[in-house]
Amino acid sequence: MLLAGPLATHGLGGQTDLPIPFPVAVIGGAWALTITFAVVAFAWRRPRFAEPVDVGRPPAIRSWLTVVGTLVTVWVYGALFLGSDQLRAGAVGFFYTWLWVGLVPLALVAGHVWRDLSPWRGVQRLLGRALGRPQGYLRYPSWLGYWPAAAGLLAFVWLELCSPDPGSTTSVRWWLGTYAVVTVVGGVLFGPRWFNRADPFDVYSAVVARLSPLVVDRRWHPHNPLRTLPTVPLDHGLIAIVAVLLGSTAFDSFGASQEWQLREMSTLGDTVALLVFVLVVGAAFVAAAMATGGVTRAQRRALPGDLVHTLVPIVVGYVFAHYLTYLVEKGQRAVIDLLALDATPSFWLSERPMLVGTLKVVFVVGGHILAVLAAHDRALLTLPRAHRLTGQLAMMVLMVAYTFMGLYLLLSV
Amino acid sequence: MRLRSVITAVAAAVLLAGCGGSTDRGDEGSEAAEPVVLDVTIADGEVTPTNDRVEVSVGQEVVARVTSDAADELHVHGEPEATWAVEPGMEGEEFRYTPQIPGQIAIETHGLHATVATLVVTP
Repeated sequence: MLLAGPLATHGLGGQTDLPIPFPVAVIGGAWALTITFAVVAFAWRRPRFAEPVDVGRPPAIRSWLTVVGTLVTVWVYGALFLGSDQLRAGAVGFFYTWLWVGLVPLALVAGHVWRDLSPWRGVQRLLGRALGRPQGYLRYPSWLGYWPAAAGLLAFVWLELCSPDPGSTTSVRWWLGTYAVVTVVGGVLFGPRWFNRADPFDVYSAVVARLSPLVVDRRWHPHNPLRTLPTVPLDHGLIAIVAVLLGSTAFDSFGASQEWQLREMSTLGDTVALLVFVLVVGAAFVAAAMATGGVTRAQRRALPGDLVHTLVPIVVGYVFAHYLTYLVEKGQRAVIDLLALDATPSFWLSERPMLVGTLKVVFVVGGHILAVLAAHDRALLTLPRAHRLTGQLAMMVLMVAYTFMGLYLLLSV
Repeated sequence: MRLRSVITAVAAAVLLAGCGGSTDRGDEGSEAAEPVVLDVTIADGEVTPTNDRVEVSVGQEVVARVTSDAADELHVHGEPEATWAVEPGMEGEEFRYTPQIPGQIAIETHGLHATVATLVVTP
């Protein structure tokens, strides 16, 4: 049974993790990052990850996966709108755990299978064929870029972290109902491009999938993920996507801290605070990326886009650090409820706080170290020779600040 | 090759740091410890305490003694969840909860929208 508490974080009520009990590890982790930066600066001076992994044309859509995705979606929507108390709770749980968090490990292990699974792409294909307009009626405006997806992700984190009652069936019905309508209408109007640029979950999955060490272009092909990471398709609004994902995580950690809970915040106040976090994270990244000498104005403006993929490992690291027990344990509860079973989830992870704490630190530091490696490699490619080291300094300061802050939050909350 | 050694060195540093920290463990064997008492008062539309932090061990009972002049509901956001119905005129009414799993458990008033206390449950 999920009770929507007044201050429940993450949309779902219930128990949360202990604070990380070992400051030593946290400080050690932050130092590890700093040292990596220093060592890497001299370790290699020629780009190593610039050459893309070529596996030929991506495979056609796997329809059986679309059937699976559609069945799951129909079940969840059915439970949410027509089900009993338990089924509704299961649907709400599924939305916050498997859809929002489960998407990340899925993309890491299996690449962008979301494209195959997506029932919305399936509906678009069927309707497009029936209407004789498989590519839609309108051209997707290029200036829109990823902005609709960024707005969708912001709408999700707003519901999860700022809305008055995120755990209620009504809130989730509104959100998922609107999402379904917008996604189907957008898909029919603009064709498949809509999903590549405007569907928040599809885009999130596509971005994370570039970090998958196992799959390239939806085909099994183990490789060094740092070679596929730079191939995240760049477009307007990509920085906004990463800023929403990172800024909301930071806001969430702050929000759970005791100092924050002490002040009474209205929904509006929380919303403003969330936006400020997102803007600060985004602006700090853009400023740090641009802070180098010896480039023309046009080159300088292109730098944040050149480096934005390097933030993806950080996002992934925080998602795991932040939601590990949540996904595993609340995720089990969601499945139990969705199948209307009477069972108790296993709390194997929560019963081992030391393991959970260690994993959290490893995820955060690991994500940052991958980011540093990716950023260094890209800097060798894009920065002028004379500014290769100094041009990375601002980014180093920013990343170390992010790490300290991230670990501090994990430590204190 | 140099890259690999860099990564190995960093991984080792992280692991060492992790191990260094894991040696300081909490005092164990407090299984059958005395119950922890938490006094909660709801009066004139205010609840005391708010945002208290209470350290307990798994299996150690928490007794909330509730005094109230209004109807409300206290939610214990743990595994399992619990809901305590508060009625006007309660004087030191006792509600009991025994945490089963390590973590943080918020006790919240549903009516007044406030966190009364967070149980910090250690193994």
